[in-house]
Amino acid sequence: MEDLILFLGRFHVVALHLPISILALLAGLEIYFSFSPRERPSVLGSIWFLGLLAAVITSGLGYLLSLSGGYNEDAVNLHLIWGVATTFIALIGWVAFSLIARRGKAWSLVIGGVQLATLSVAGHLGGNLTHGPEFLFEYAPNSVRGLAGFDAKQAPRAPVSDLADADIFVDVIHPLLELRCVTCHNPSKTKGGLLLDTYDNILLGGDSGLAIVARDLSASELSVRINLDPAHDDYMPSGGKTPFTPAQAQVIDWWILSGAPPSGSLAALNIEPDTLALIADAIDIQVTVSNLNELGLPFLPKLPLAVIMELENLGFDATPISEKTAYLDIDFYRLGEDSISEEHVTALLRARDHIAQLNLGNSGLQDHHLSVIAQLPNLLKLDISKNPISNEGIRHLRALDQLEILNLHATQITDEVLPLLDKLPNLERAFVWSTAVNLDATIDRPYLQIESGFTTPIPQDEKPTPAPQPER
Amino acid sequence: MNHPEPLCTGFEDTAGLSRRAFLNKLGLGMGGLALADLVNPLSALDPSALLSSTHIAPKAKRIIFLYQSGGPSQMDLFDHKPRLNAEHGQELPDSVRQGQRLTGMSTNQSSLPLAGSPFTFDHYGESRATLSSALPYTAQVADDICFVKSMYTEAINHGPGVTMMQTGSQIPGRPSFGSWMSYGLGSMNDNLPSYVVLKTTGGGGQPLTSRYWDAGFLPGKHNGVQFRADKDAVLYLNNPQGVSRRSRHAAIEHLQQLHEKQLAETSDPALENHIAQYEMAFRMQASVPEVTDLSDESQSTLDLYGKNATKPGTFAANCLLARRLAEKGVRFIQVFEQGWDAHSNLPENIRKQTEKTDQPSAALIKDLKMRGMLDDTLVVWGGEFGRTNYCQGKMTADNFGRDHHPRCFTMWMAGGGVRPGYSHGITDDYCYNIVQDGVHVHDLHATLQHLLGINHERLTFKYQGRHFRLTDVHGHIVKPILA
Repeated sequence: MEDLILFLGRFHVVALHLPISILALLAGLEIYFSFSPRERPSVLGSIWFLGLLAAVITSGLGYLLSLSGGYNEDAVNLHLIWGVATTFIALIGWVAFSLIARRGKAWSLVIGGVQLATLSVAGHLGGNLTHGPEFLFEYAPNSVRGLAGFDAKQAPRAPVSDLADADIFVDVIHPLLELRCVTCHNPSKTKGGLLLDTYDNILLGGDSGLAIVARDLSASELSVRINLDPAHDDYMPSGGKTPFTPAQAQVIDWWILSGAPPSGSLAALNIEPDTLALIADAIDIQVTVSNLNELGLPFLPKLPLAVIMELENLGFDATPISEKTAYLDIDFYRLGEDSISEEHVTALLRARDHIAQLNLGNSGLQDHHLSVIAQLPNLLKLDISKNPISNEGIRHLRALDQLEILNLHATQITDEVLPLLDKLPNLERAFVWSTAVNLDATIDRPYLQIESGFTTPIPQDEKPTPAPQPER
Repeated sequence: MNHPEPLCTGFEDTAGLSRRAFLNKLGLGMGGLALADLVNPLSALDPSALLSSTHIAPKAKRIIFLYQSGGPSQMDLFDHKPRLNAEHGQELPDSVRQGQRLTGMSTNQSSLPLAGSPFTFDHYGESRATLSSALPYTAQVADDICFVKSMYTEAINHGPGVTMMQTGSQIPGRPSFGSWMSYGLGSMNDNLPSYVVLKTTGGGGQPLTSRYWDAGFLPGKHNGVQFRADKDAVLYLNNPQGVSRRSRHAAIEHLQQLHEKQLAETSDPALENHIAQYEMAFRMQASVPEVTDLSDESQSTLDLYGKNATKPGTFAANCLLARRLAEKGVRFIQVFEQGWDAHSNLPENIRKQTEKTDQPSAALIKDLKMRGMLDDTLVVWGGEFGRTNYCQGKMTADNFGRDHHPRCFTMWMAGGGVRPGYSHGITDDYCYNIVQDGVHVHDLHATLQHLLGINHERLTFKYQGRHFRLTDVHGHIVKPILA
């Protein structure tokens, strides 16, 4: 029975063109003849009957369609009222012009005018139901949009070219839902009582439960349904619409598992490379994953090979931290102890922005060299241990506001450097073992790493407890 | 001081096998190319397959593998099983053994009586790690350690077992782990090999032959180089009597010229490799005595490693040497301790072995930590398999032995991106089978490579018509143990 209702109901959208065209033509003619000196042809009265018939049938079909649900109830009711009003005016027209055969120009003007108005309103409301209220004026010039009561159109968000800049919801999840879900789950066509058009609405869920439950795939109806067998009744998108690709479904699942954050740039979320590749696949953007770095530093193009060569020839081991980043890890093992020179240090400036990790331990580095090192803005990790570095040298380092790890072990620093280190905003760990830095200084300075030896001598178990005797 | 001339002929790493040499070749030969435009010119063009950079950002830059040869007893050191004490002397239930094979040594025993551990267990550190009373020093660094209690292997005897752990195959001939890392990551220090092997001397135990650190089908320069506890740390390195360093230099120089002539006519990788080895050997004449000389170590550091720290060839001295090699940029340092193969006299064996290894192992962690090196140095501790829960041979009131047991054993790791203060995997109450989160040797290899920044499926070498890798066709990264 339900199927039959739906089957007939859907003919509403076909049938409706008949009353609209008949009644619009009639109303137009009535208005025309109310002003024209020419005589109104009497056949119009019979045509009103045709218009009424079409309006009644269409209204009936429309009611059947409304029973299937899935539309915004208020919008449907409003459309229904205006549809009935249109039919009612058609009835008045038929009665007035055909049954009691009125000929007055006033009759024509009033009934024609009212019919035209109700018809327009009802038709427009119906159009909004199927196409959404934005449909008609979506591409209108902003001046026209303003007249129609719409906001001026926003410039579209620039497509993402670098995943690192992408926002997890705005650029990844939302476009996926737009693509496959929102045509049916929007404010005017809320299938299953579910809205997937905005983050807040997604959280509200629908008739079958919550669309997403952070970190719980099996409770998240959205995840469950897009991962069902496509033949399953509950599979989404339903009705043979284009489904998500496997990568897209995986990205949605990953988002839910990550707590379904409403925003946040991918670079800041510290996402694994595999997942990033998946996302790039899912939203089909032609980025090389090498655009991404795992270090939380801004994207940098690769350093010219000539510069790397120059550093290597000087004795540095200059290696990209991974194949996905242009940032470098530089070591100085090759040349041996105490062999660093002015030339070496200044050469580092050739790769100024690219050096994220620098190990110059036991290289003979001196205080004045650190004024050069301090010009490396993206340095995250610096090892200058086992060098004749004093407090003077450390003063230069205050510019290193990205620095996270600083190895000062076996240098000539004293407690005086601690206020300097306190000011490094991102410092996570500083190694000061085997320096004059006082052990007490570790209090309130969790970044300071000082290990003690095996302080308490522990007696070896000379006589371990003998194993219990066999019971049998 | 400027970049010194190469000690030999300036003909270094001729095979293009070092990144630097390769870069130079590329720069000279292809200078006209818009190099900066190439996304990754090194990996695209480098014929040596040496990785121009790691696949992912590495957590560890080097590994110190404290190999405990013979198979330490997991239930006497790490994996506390009170049930074995409760059922001490009772027969191993068939429901637990499930017909699994035994070694030839205990398969004919008429009875397989369970043997409880004679050692007491307690919880240590903030992580409340469970450790036996035989490991008082390890207990003090427990919060830095990640214990994997669910290791397993298929090998049931030492040869295949060590070969499996070292090369990813029970059958000899594959390259060792250290060789793969040398091949993939290259050397950070031209003056030292990238894979160094240290062995405890005079300990007896199962033989450790050089095939365990062999490069297999990889170029020979990736062989592990054994440093001996002797005045000649590396054999045949020193000049023959009556030959001065200068004349040695001249001889190698002439030899190189001949080699170059030969190379100009036929490109022979083996010859290129040979040249590199001559070069390395010559440079090591200076670098090896320097790195093995402990005289610049402070007393407090020596104390840390214990009374044997200055006794060459002991596990303690080798741990200290391992740290020194790590400081010099050696990629893979493997310290072998023999003597864990306690088929009989297990309580005494454990006491003897832990006395040798407990403090130095823990000291290495502390020492690296002090120097800020534990962040990027991965310390691995363990052997080829575990030991049985039942007694092999005669069981007396305070003595028994344990046979080989591959179905579960414990290894630990510290530093270099592993999760500190964590224990992974669960074995059953009898310490016989794994109940949860088993970690195969292949999985360990995959995970260790991951920590070094290597995708274990992508570091391969084509040999006999197919691409080989350390994990062959296996291996899953054990994510829970990553920090």
